[in-house]
Amino acid sequence: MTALSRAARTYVCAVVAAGLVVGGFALPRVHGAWTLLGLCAVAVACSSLSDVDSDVSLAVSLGFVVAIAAVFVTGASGGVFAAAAGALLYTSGGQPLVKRAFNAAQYAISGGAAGLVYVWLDGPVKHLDQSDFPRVIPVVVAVVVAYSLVNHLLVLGIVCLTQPWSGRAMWKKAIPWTSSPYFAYGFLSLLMAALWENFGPATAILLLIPLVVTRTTFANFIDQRRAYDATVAALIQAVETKDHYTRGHSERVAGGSVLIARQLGLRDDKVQALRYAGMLHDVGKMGVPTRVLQKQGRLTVPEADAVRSHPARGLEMLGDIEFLQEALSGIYHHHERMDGKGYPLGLKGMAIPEFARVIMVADAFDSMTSNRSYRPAMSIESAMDELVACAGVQFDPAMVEAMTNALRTYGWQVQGADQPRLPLPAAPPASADLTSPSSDGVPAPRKVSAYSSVETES
Amino acid sequence: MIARVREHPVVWAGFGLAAAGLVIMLVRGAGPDQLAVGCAFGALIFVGELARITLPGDREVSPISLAAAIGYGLLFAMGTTDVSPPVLLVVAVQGLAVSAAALLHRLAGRSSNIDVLGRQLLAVAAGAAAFHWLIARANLGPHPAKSGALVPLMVAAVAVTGALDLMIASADRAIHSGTPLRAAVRDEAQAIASLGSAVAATGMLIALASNLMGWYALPVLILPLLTTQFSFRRYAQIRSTYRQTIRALSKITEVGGYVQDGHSIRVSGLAVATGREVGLTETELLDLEYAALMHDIGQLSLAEPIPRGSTLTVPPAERKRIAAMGAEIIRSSGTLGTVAVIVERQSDPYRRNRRPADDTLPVASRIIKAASAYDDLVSVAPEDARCRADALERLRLGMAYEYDPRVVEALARVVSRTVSSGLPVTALPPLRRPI
Repeated sequence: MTALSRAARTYVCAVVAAGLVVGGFALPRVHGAWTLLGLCAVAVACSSLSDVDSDVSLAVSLGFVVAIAAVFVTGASGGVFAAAAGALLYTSGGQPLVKRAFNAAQYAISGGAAGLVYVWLDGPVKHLDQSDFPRVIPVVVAVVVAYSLVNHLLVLGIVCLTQPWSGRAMWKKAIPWTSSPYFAYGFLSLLMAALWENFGPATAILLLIPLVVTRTTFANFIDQRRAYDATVAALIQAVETKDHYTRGHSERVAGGSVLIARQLGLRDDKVQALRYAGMLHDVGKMGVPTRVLQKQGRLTVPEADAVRSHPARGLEMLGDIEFLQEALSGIYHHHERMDGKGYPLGLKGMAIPEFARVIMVADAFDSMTSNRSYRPAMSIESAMDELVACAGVQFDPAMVEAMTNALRTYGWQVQGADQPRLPLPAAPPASADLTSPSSDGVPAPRKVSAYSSVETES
Repeated sequence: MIARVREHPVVWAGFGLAAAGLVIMLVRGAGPDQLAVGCAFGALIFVGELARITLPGDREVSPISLAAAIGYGLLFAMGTTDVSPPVLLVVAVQGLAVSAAALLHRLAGRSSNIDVLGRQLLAVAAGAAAFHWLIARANLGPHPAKSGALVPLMVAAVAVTGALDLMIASADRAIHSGTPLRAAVRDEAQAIASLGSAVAATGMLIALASNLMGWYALPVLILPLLTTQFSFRRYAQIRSTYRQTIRALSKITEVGGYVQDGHSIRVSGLAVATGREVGLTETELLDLEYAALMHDIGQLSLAEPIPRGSTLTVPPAERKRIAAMGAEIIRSSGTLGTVAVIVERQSDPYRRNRRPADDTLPVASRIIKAASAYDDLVSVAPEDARCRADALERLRLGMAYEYDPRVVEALARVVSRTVSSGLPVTALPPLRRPI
């Protein structure tokens, strides 16, 4: 946390101080200390459950449910402590103390705000029954709004001070999916409070079971997805051992395709599909004899046919994978050209599937900037020039533009299996060194003069 | 033939009509409250059944429908009105809703598993009956609906439902897939434990919360279960994608000309059937399947493919090296550690000369060794019975030294079964559907 700027440090200190004030103010006003203690214990237990990587919008914080329930059971002061307890005593994640203190303070303030709204709306819902019903709905909504609004604003403050994204982008990104399920979960809190008071704590904890199960299942899902990515990468690497010049090519093409896709603003699931398509685009090369792949000089007609059959072979191999269906078109057509002189079908212009038009550019760029048996690698700048020169003839100009823009913004680096979720601006400038395996000490790859048209991988 | 009759829309319509008749008979005279509550729960069960999902291992589940049915069976009061549906009414309402949903599924071209639906009907009914039996014997005071003593009774009733469901499901799996009963019970318990507990908890909460909040309880409690269901669906999808991808990429060695076409898929089918025969659990079977699909991947490191791709003709040291290279590739993924070990040890003999059998040799490795050898041996003339007999004979000759006798016998049983059923070994699905 030494990296915090002065402004950020001041902000954190202010929030922590405010949290302490709220806590000190609430402490003498607690009703039902034992109940509150029990709720705090539940909150701590919840926070120690594995924290799910929340790119999945429905992994709503369990602590939230307990904190709001505490507001309903023990009033304004209860919310402060139940909300803060989980964050403060959460030790298993190895979070630095500053972070924990900040989180505890901001939760305490949020809980306090929720509690004040609750008291202000005259809401004590002791021994809830059906006659309370339409009346409590606006109370619950208001409490939830107060809690999540304060919570979001406080977090947004620190994010703006420490991350380079604009506050507006963060707000837009964070709000839509985090707040909508919260309303429904507010009613769950209400139910938890009612169960706690009527049937005892055990039944209230029963309510957490589905939430815990959801969480662990999401965690399992994410584990499986990681394992899946790693397995695909390992198998592709094994294929690439056939031709040592193409080592890492598939992963870099996947990375390049993701760059283009994000620049185009494609939906997240499409970006994922494109990544797999890039990863697997050359898998059909397995059917091309190694000596043909590594041959220097002109290919004979049957040899060239063997090379040209690789997209079809890839399609044949991967055709049974259901979720790749859209990606398959990208794999099958990644050697088409805009002017219709490509293969396998000779499609023209926009008749070429979008995925293929993306992969074509990423593929060509990586081939140009890597060493080959018959030529050394080009520099990034000349490869970009070459892409621009061939736009419209060989490549879709929109894709070329997306690629060059993305390269100027984020640079070109070894794209591992783990793609950053957001385009993190930590990337080196566009002139960064390349991925090419030219470790022979040649400082800048020579530019090859005669490129009538850019050759793509093959 | 039987399956076709069982899945005919008329069957579902018949069930539905019978259940509807029962509902009308029971609700008549029971008052408008009973009717309204029955309709609401029936609708919820119906919708939940329409939104069913398939978990790994071809398990059709509909968490919302089941939770609603459990909650209905344990219902005591809806807000201020006492409504306790008799067990027969619970069965009728659930039967009606489920049949209607199955009919709709059928008309949309999807089949429903009548065994699963019947099992759930039975389990819920048993739980509801247990609940009523317990309530009649417990002294719950003047306001039973608000009594905390309801909770342990509900837990006991749900335990009855869960136990019955588990028992029937395991027996069903044991009969249909040939898994030994103990392994089947373990598999079912493992597969359904977490989702089952979420469903059971929601079912109890629906009954309890209906006492407190009346009708509002239903939407409030269904929402978390909906997210649970969503998370399970995502999980099942990635599992199935994973499996499809490994199957697809296992063809790498064939496309590259290293092994014969279809070898990996055939070996994995035979290996999984053999593994099930010797009583491996589902997790072990999945590892076995992945290892069998990728067992030849080490050959990618060879400069030139082995003639006909059969490692039988290669000296043991070379075979071991290929296996080690394959394990290395799999291990480089950073996951699938068990699979890598299985692949690594597939070339090890069951027993070395004058030494006891090696206990550390995974059963899966022994199975792959035998299955791969069998497939290589019959590849000359797969349709010829003599050739198959010769291949089994060669495996038996290598028994107690090269191959594990238990594995070879299990494999021989699998082969004779598939031959008598007229299906080629490849037609043996490793598990009924993507796991």
